[in-house]
Amino acid sequence: MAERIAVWLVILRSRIRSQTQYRTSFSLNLLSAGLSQGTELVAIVCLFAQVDALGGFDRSEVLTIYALSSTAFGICEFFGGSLNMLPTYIRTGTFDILMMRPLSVLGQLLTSEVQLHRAGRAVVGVLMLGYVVGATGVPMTGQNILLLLITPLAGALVIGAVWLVSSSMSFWLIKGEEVTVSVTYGTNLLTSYPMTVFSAPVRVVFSCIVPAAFVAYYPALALVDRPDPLGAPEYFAWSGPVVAGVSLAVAAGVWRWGIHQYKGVGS
Amino acid sequence: MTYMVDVEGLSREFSVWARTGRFRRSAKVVEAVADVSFTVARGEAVGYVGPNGSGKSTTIKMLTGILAPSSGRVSVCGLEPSQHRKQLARRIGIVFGQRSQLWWDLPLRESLEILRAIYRIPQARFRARLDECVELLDLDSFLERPVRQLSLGQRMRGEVTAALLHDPDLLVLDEPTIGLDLESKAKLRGFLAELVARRATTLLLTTHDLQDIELLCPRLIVIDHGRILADGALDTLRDEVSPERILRVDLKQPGALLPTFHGVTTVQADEHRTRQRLSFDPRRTTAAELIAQVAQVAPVIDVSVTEPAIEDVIRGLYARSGAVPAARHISRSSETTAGEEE
Repeated sequence: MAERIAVWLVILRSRIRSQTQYRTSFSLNLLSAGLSQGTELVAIVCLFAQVDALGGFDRSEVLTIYALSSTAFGICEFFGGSLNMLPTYIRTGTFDILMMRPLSVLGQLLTSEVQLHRAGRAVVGVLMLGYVVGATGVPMTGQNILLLLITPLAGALVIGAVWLVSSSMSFWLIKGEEVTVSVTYGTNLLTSYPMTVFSAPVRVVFSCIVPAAFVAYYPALALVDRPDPLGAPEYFAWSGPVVAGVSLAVAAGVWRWGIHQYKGVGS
Repeated sequence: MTYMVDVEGLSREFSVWARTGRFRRSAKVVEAVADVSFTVARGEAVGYVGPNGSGKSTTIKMLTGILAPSSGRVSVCGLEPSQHRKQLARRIGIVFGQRSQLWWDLPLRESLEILRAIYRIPQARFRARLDECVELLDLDSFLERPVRQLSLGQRMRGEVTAALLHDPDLLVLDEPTIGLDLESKAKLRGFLAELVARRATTLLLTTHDLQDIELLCPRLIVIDHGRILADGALDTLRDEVSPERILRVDLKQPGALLPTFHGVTTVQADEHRTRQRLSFDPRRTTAAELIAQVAQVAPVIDVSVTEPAIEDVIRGLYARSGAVPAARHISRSSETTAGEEE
């Protein structure tokens, strides 16, 4: 077991070292990751200069949702960003190289492109979360602290599961990049805003089928101490880890099915 | 006797979507590999030859567990590849001429170090193996250079080293010399020949370059349209397909056209009739006999005997089967390229 972990550490270290070889490009990437996060934030602040509420939520409440979602997205992007590469790997034949090594293919995919600059987004998310929570005066009860800790982690796993499913689509589609990229950045958008801004059909899809609402919306409701205007039960705020577990199980199934499809077992 | 590779009735089909109308598409089943059977014994070096799209790469992918067969049985190193992918990976080495298993952004040495960790090769054995490859493949000058800066020839030498680090029982090479210059080809072939001779590593090689086969593989499997056309030693196939040899004689003085001696099928001469070519069937006469007969008719300066080139043997095989070698069958990679062009 220790030996097995050591293998992954060697791979991770090599990926990190390869980036630090290009220092300028690394710092530029870090800057751009932070900036893109910043512009989204500015957009929300500008929006609230014009309106008082978005879907019935005021500025600080929307920012709480946004900060939780950004942190989860940032963590997921840091650890699972290379899921995006799967369509390319399949098209160029690199996937065959992963298949010929005595290691888990998913593990190799996840470690194939660890990009440190992606940490920029997670860091900005955490800073934003700290600021918003302080500014809005969320009471620092033990319960709230626990919720603040588990929500981004569970959220990252939920988003990761969605990404895994979407990138697995490239086992069936010749050009999977579009699907993957739109899902990747689509989830970021969907998890960042209150559910009330979306129309009913969209809400159903993004709370029941793709559990985006569990990433930030429900936990944020509990933090700002508001009931869901749409009537979701209060325990939804704490359902993140369970939802993450179920999503990951489903995603793992789809992945395995995709590999079977790729190999052509029984098709 | 257990075989390194044991394949029986192996077939692989792909569904290909073809446009039949403006918006309509229909699925067509293409057989990339059809009922292929062969065995490879330990220590053998076998060339797997065929034109583009003949099913070579599909076969290789099934042998290495990347693709599962549609039907038939595969066993490599005693394992069923698609079921025991990881276990098998420890026992075989693969070199793809057209893709790299090295990390393009790291120095070659570091790529090899990562592979050492992946295959859990003990430090001492890794050292010994690496030193050997460094010496025989001249890696010294570029071992510390990032892979993306290597020339194709250097990179291929790195790939072969990478595939051999874990001491595989079977080395599979898919088009290893493609795109290499003559010197790099020669170096790689020399190394592989030595590997077979000294280490008794089993070698399975697909190639377009028939010289690879001539120099490395005593045995040849020829495939086309996913079916095996021939399987045997190069010499045997040569005798079977185009048994004719050519005796070239240079005469001292211009003279008449030489007679068609017993066993000779055609006689050709240049305009001065000093150099003449006699095609003969070695089963009916011998080169020595012919030379003696020629010498009785006219003074001879020089003689030489040529066998048909391996290209002619292969062409003969295709001609015999009525197949015209061309790209027809679709493998996974060409399928995706086709999709891209849409």
